Amino acid sequence: MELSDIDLVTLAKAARGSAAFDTLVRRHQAPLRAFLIRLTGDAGAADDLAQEALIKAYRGIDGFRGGSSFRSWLFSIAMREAMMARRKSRARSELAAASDDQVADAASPDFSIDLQRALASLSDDERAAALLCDAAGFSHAEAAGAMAAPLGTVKTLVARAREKLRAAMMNENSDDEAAAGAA
Amino acid sequence: MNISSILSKDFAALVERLDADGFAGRVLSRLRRVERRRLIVVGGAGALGAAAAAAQFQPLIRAFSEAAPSLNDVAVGAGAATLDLGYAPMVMATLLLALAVGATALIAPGSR
Repeated sequence: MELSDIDLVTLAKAARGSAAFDTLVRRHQAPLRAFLIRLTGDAGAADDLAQEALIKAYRGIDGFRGGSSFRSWLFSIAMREAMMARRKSRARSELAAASDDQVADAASPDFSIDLQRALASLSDDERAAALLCDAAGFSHAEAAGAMAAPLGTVKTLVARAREKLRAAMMNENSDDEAAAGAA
Repeated sequence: MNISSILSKDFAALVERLDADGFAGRVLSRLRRVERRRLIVVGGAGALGAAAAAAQFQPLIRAFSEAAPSLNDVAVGAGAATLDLGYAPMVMATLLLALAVGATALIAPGSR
């Protein structure tokens, strides 16, 4: 029988260095990295952030009180790491120059350039909310926990992000059709 | 296809791809290094505490002996380990205690 996250957290708290936390890492690393890749647009940076978040979660496991799901808590740590990294990056004025490279880094056979551009057009909060709720399958409450934002704010962000994504995708499609017609 | 299903389909494909690489192994080996370091610091702090206690042992016995001369007949201090580095025991004990507290703060959950 597969243990729940809460069971594994209890075991990890009881015995540091036990296999319980290993199981949590194996269970959540891929969704966490996927979220960070789509949030930052940079696979290398996303892996660094995920690693930092997992190590901080390990060190701070005693501070997890179970008020939210483990993944919500883990993603909240990763979000904080990502925001701190973004602030540092902004301070160094590298962000603008990196945006084109990020699009290339995030490319995958399953990820359309249109969607990529549409996601990049969202604000950080809108992108995080859309990715958590629509991509990663978080409930609004879980996403609110991960983003440390009120539930109503998260619902608004998700709705606004969907609207913007829909509009951006439609624009991309009509541009493509116009280009094809001209050719 | 709506936006939600496009996002979730993309996310699921990405998760599947990421699940198969060696990232988890790399993180877990780094976690083990972190844990080893923590244990070394805990062990070190324990050793420092023991050293501080040992440094206090001889003056304590002497104080007892002076207070109650009949204790001189009891050979408690004869086999006790001592640590004399040329500093006053109280100074040394304070320094070692500060190191032990610092080491504990270093490994305390949420301290980093």
